[in-house]
Amino acid sequence: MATCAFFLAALFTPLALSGAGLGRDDRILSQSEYRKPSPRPAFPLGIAEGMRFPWQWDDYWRDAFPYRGPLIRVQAHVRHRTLGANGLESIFLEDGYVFGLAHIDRYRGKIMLRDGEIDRFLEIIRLKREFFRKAGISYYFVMAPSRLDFCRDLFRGAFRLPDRHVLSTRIDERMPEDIRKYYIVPDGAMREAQARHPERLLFYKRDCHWNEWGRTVAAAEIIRFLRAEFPALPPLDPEAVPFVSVPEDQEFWYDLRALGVAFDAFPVPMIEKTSPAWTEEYRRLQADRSRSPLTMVYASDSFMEVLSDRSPEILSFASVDRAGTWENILGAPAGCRQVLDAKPDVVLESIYIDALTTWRYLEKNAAWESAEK
Amino acid sequence: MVFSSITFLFWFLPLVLATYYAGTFLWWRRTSPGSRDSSGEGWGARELSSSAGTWAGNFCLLAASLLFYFWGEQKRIYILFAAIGLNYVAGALLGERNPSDSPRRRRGRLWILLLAVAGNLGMLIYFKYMNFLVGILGNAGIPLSMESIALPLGISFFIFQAMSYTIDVYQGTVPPARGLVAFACYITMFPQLVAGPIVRYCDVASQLRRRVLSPEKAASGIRRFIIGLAKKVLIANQVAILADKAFGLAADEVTFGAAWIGTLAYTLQIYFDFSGYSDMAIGLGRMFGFEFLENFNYPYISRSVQEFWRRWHISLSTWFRDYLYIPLGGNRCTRVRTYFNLWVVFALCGFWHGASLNFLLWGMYHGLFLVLERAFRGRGTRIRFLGHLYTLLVVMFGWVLFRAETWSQAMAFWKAMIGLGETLPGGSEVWFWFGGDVRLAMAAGILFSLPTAPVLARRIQGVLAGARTAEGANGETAVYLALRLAVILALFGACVPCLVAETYNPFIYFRF
Repeated sequence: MATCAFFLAALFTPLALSGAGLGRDDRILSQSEYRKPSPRPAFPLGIAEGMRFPWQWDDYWRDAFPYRGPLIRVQAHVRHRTLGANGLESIFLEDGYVFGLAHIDRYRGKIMLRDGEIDRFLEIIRLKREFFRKAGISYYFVMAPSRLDFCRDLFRGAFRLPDRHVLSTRIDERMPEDIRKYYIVPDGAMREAQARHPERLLFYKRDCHWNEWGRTVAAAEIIRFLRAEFPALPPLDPEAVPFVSVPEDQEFWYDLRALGVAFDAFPVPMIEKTSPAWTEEYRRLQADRSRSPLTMVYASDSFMEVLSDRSPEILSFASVDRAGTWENILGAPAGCRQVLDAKPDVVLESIYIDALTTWRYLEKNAAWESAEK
Repeated sequence: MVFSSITFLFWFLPLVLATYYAGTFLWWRRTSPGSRDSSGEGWGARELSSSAGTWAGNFCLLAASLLFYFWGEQKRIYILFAAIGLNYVAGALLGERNPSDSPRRRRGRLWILLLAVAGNLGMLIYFKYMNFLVGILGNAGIPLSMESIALPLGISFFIFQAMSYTIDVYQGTVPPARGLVAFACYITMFPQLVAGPIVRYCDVASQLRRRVLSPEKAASGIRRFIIGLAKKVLIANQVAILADKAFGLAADEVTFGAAWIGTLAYTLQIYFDFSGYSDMAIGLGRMFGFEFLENFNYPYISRSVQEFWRRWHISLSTWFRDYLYIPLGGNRCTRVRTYFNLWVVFALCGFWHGASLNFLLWGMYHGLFLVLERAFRGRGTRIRFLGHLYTLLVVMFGWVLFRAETWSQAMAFWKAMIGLGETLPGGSEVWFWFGGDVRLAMAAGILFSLPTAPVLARRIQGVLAGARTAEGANGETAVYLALRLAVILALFGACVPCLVAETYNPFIYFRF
């Protein structure tokens, strides 16, 4: 009898609660699923309505199920936090790091450049340098490091780590000495910073981009590199930048949102952010464009954008304008007209290292090789 | 609608249970005011012996089952009606078998049977195998232009059930159904309509006329249902994550470890998915007063492939045995013919699972081992462990064929499993999904694919009853009952958030 009583109570409770209008909470729909609750379908009176009714009712009941949000969070918590499980489209690490499925192929080295392709990539860099040199512009290439590389220690114990995915090492091994002079890799500086401040994160936990501390270190490395050619540039000391620990911005929760996970089930990670006073100072500097010793344009993906547009540190010594993305501006010699017309001192091209394979850098820059022939 | 969905569990089922019990008892009270507890099953037992009470119960079930089917298959519900109509009419025309029938009447009965079987098989072949046949003909250079035909829900199950009725009536095993409602209720009964087990009419004919409803039976059904739900949601769905990832690998990514862990995951997934569904069907049946035959009996403890098939999808293997193997001559013919019969039956049994060469080959593969076992009967090992190992290996290698999308993928898995696979420096990506949830589910899967639960229950019962051994215990103490209830409730409580979160949830057997 007790079994029947409990079971029937369990079966009828959602219906009763729903009928009484209790337990309805649509926040999870708007916060995590980005949709509106499905409306209650009208009782079907025609054949067409009748045919649609089952799935309309399924959708409605799914959304109207009492305490749906808390139940989903319980499930997410148990699955991902207690059991340390990975999602279908994601990898969750114990301390709140999230990696999207797209990282997996790179992690395990499935998408890999062959040696010949690395040589082609380096040759394209050389061709671009030569092209801009003829116009009196210094061309530099910045390779934004992989967050996965920096976080690879987090995977130890949980997963075996292949070394062959470390594309930066392979590129470095094949790089001619002349290209090293204009090929900026902030990895080393960032690793040193990581060693100096192990408690500080260089990348967001829930997004692939470098955070404010990471991009400050990267900016300092870019400046250090440029100073070899432009000694008038003042150095940037990342250690002089005051940071405060704050909850990670929700705008960088892209990974979780895209995965459809009830991300508010997870505690908000803390992140290093430049103090507001410091940011104000740079805003003032940014407004004064006459102070810059050189002008610079860049064509990049979101990494340089984050570095340049979000933190004004680098702007204290250079007027920086974004020309466009590496695809639409520097993809072919013919596309560089905008950059040539701007007559900057420096043009920076930057890509996230995974763009080499994921976004088919070689294919999109094939015009440079054709022009050479 | 699947059993492991919130629409079924928290909307359809409570409403159907309420309607069924209310309707049945109202009719029963009206028509049998004097009879109470006539079954002698204890307090609250009600025997639906009055024709009106049973009819009302059958009618409620039929209406609920049609709604259930319509929920998943709106457009081609007419196929279900056609199967009901065809076999009901055939059964009525076949009538009672009489030894004194004239040769003309016997021939006439045979023709009716053949026409009914042809009609059933025709529907099955057209809706399930036509795409495959057109593809085969196209590959053979005979292109046919035909629109793709979608597989109607549960067609393999209800057609086989309907055929079994007609054949049984022809053979005189059962009399023809007395009413269309009872017969339609048998064919459409939602607990087993879309994914089995294949209930034969002879097994439920008497229950369609007279069955017992009691709190004890309902409670037993609820327990069985929740156990099935937990098997599906907490084990099958979790290991499916790993199995799907492993079988989603390209041929050049299948490593030794990935192949074995993926195959193990699928071995557990298919068992817990399907046996979980069967448990839910049996449990639901009990809630409505029916007793269905068992469909699984710990198949992975078998020591031969023959034993495996006595324990796996029992309703299907007995169907093929009774309606194909024995009519073909069974084992009462020459040795070669027996082997041929066995092999053909298993090839068709494999093909029943899906219109694909993989399933056909899977059936032939099992048939081959059955033939070999029969040929070398008595010469096998007497070491129990080796028997288990042999069977598990044959079954697991077979599941690769069953699960693989293509022949080349199956080959890649087999090669990797014998150590000829790819080597990736960092191991396969499959290990990313070998998280805590999958590990826990796999451990539970391995544990409960053995007869651990009944042994454990007996032990606990024995300890609580104060007996020296589990075998000595035969009473269910209050503590044991409370413990059992707590476990059942905990399982249900664990399933609900997973269902609400709509985690990975398709039933594998809906494909067949």
